[in-house]
Amino acid sequence: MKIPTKNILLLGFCLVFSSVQARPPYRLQAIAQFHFEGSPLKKSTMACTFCHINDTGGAPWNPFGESIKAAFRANPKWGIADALQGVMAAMKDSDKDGYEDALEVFAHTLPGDAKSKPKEDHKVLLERFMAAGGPDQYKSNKAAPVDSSDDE
Amino acid sequence: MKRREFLKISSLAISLTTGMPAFLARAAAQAQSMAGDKILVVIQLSGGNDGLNTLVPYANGAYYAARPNIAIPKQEVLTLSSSLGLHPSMKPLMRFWDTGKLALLESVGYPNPNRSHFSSMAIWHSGDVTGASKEGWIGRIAETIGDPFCATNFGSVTPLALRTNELILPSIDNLDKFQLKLPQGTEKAFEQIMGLPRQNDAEFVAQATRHMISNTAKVQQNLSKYKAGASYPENNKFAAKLKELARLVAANTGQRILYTDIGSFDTHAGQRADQDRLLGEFSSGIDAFMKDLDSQGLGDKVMVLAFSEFGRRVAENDSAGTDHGQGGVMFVLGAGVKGGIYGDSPDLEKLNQGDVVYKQDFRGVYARVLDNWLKIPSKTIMGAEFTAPAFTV
Repeated sequence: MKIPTKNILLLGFCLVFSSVQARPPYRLQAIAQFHFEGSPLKKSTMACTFCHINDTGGAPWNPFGESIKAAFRANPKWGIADALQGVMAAMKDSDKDGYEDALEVFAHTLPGDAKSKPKEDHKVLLERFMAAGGPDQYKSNKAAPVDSSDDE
Repeated sequence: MKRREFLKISSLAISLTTGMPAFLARAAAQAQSMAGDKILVVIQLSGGNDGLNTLVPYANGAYYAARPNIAIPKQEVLTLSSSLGLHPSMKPLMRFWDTGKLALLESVGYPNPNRSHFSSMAIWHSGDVTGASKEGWIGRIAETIGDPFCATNFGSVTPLALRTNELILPSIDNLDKFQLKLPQGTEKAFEQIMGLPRQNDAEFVAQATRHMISNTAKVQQNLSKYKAGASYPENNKFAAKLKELARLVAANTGQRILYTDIGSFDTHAGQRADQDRLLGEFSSGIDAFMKDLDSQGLGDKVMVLAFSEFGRRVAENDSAGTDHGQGGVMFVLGAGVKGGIYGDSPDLEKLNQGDVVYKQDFRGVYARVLDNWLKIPSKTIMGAEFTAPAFTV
């Protein structure tokens, strides 16, 4: 059976669209709440390895992802915005690289990967971080747009 | 002209006229539906609603053992029976329960459950458990009764449920935007074109268009006359959608099925925050919608059916959430419903790969609504006979 070209193009569009739709709401919330700029459709804006071990997401989680999961367990009525805010406020160094999670979010390095850490001196970075509002800058009063769920 | 050709042409007439919503196109085509003026409102709970925290087995120790962080405490449950109760956010639905107008169906699913949102939703939409069919059950209703305008989705994209290989039933996301307005200065030319003599199919399309124009104003007038008979909750997008559906019902547009959705119920983490909120929005929206219709004397015409593509696993995960499961809970409420809890409660100590085992085929629920409420032969629509408990009057 021959499939007209326009249908193939349409199918291609649908597949792309569906993968766009598959972005989990948790990542969208983190992008918005951590003030990351760039298209949420691009992994370069916030890689899955921000919280997950694998670049494709899913289990297992890295130490920062585990911190968020622990926050959920400790506060079962928290939503994702509350959990992100809580982890930032805790000023914990999940990956034990010498830089607290909130500082790494501020510096746009990976808070769950010890190989990724800010180049800036800790004291200088901390001063800049606190001057910018400290952990409170990651408070959220508004949830990011909740999209349809991922398909796995 | 063959029926499928008729439907294709009719659909074309819709798309040619700026995606005219179903009620306008219906007026144009003068399609005759099967007898009956009953309306079914189908609500899709997207993402996989967790049935166990919806219809809570509060007397079952295994439930609390499996969910140490996210179970609904017994004292918060809205008691329905000695063993089951509703999630506390669903209090607005208790008036339906108290008056025998709320039916809850337990452990609903299908053979060989699929945990993918996309695949499972396609199965619920088509009624084909192999997932192969690309024809939706509501689309098939339109084809069967010969009325391509009998159903409308309120949303931006028409779901598979309202599609067939030949038809894509309309989606509306703003009723007021759907008006037939010719560009200024083109009215006369349009009249001339419409006045040209035509034959056969061309005449049919022209006639449909003329009817559409003449009826557009009337329908819009009806819509503009609508005055909500109830207060809808603010900051609730789902309730806002239902208000628009109430306008459609009140405008007497002749539609048999209205479809919309709420989501996302995909609560992998922090379930209590998200599901509590969503069930509250769902319940308060339905409550306002039915109050509105009742106040306009239309409540007896409308039955609401709510489903989700699957339930969730029995045990919570380590993010205070739940992952994709199998059997779930369906709701049916409003007119024509015989209230109660139908089906066996899940046996939480006899699971299938950690999931609630499905016991009621969802196609049986569709079939009962088709046969008893819409008065449309279910075997024709579903392709076989399916059964369900007698949750309809």
